[in-house]
Amino acid sequence: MIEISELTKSYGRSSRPAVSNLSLTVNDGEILGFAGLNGAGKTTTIRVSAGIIYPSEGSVRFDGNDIVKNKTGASRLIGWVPELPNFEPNVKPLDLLIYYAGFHGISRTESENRGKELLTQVGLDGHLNKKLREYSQGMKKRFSLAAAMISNPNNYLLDEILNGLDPEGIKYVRDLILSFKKEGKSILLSSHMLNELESVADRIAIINKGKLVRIINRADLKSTGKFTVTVQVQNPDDGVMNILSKYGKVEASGGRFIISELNGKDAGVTGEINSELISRKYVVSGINTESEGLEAFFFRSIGDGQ
Amino acid sequence: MNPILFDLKRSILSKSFIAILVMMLALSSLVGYFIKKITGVSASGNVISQEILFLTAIAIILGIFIPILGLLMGYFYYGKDRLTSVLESVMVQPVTKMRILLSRFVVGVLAVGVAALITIVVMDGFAVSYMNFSMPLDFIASLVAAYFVEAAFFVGIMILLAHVVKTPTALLSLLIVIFLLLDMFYTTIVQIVIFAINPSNISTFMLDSYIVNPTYYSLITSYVFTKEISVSVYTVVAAGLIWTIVPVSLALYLGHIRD
Repeated sequence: MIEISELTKSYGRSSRPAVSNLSLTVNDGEILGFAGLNGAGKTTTIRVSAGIIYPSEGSVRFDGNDIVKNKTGASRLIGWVPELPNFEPNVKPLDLLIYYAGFHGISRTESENRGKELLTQVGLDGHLNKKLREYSQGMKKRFSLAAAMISNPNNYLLDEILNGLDPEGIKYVRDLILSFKKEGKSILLSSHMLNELESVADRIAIINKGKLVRIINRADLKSTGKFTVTVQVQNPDDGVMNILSKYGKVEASGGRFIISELNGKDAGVTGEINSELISRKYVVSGINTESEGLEAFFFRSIGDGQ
Repeated sequence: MNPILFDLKRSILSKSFIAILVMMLALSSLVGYFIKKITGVSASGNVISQEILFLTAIAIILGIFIPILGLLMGYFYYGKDRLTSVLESVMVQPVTKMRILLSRFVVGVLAVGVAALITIVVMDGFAVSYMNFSMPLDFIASLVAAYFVEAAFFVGIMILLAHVVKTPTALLSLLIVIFLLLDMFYTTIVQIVIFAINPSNISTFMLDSYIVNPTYYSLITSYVFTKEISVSVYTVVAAGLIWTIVPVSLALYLGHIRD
């Protein structure tokens, strides 16, 4: 379990905190998506959590171990994948994995076997004799995943893990993250790719200008209170626009009308629209509602937060 | 594998380490060869023993290269890694930042010490086989100890500065400035200062100027044995402790309070 409590991180006295009073919990077996614009504070939160930089205030605990007060104990429980992996360039991947495993007290034989297994798993088995300076960004990302898994930790901090990966890599990582979840691990997954977050995360935390704007369950995205109504009319004319514009903002394309910004109305409005159109002799061939996606919800949320 | 052994292996097998070691060995051998050729007779006709000439030459060669190697070890195995974020992948392992800093410091000092030891041992073999004398054991011991102190200072100062500057280029520039000021042009600078302030006792001033420069630590140490210039053992020990402890302690402090 990852517990971030009232975390604040300032880089300078005069500047706005990069992260301000942020509290999050990632439960065991849960994927928490972490969404925000560039500079929102996602990477800073992950770097503080990983023990790379110190928090200005607040704490981060992994299964009860504080990353500042008990750095060694907490770090044993973390797998970290950075946004832009940067490793010692003149070393071969397996040697570096064995080096990292040494910090976890894993024997050379065990770490060598596990390292080979992981490098094969992440698709680098054909590149074991190359030094890391010869690796592409995508290969480094795959290597950083192997490095994160070397000690089989309970908690993962994944910072923009999908950036720099090819479609096959994205699918592999998505499946891997879901397998972590099945194993009961806690995953904090930061990403710009909102559709990817939407497809794997159990909850999504939206951060803007260092502050947590809101956390939403993936299931709740279907009932965020925001939706559009699509109406199909077989005999459309200007009168349809006049009727529908009473309910919200209307966009028309042939016989298809999309009504958005239905503030203050619930999904029951479709019956009302249907009745009114039929009473005016229009032939309604279809009418349905659609919830806004994460992207629309995200932009609306950070708009609220600004 | 123990991470410290891995770091030590990595630094000793690095191109910079091997290149400087080869240069030290080649230069020392070349100087030994020429000393043998000129048979130890100076231009003024005073007989200078081959042994003293050879030992002095080795001390001068190591005196130039040991600081460079110390600076490079501190730069490549801590400073550059820290400033290019390479160290972050180590910082997320179950180890504290202080321990990483200290282990890289120890590895850097050991690597430099190993280079000094190899050079001295090989040159002793050279002296035995080619010049028919063996280096005095106390000379070897004091020289190696002095080079460990110099290594500690130069590795430590690079680690310290890595917590002050923001880019590898800035750190590399400082490395060059330190080397030029403390190693290459120090005597010239001291002579200019002497010319400018005209101190009452020039030899005392020169000695003091050597004591405040860690590059000359091996020279100061050798005075204890040769008694060429009077210097107390306590002064040498105190200077050695300062050069060994102060830079790395300041680096530890900065590492503790800064990200």
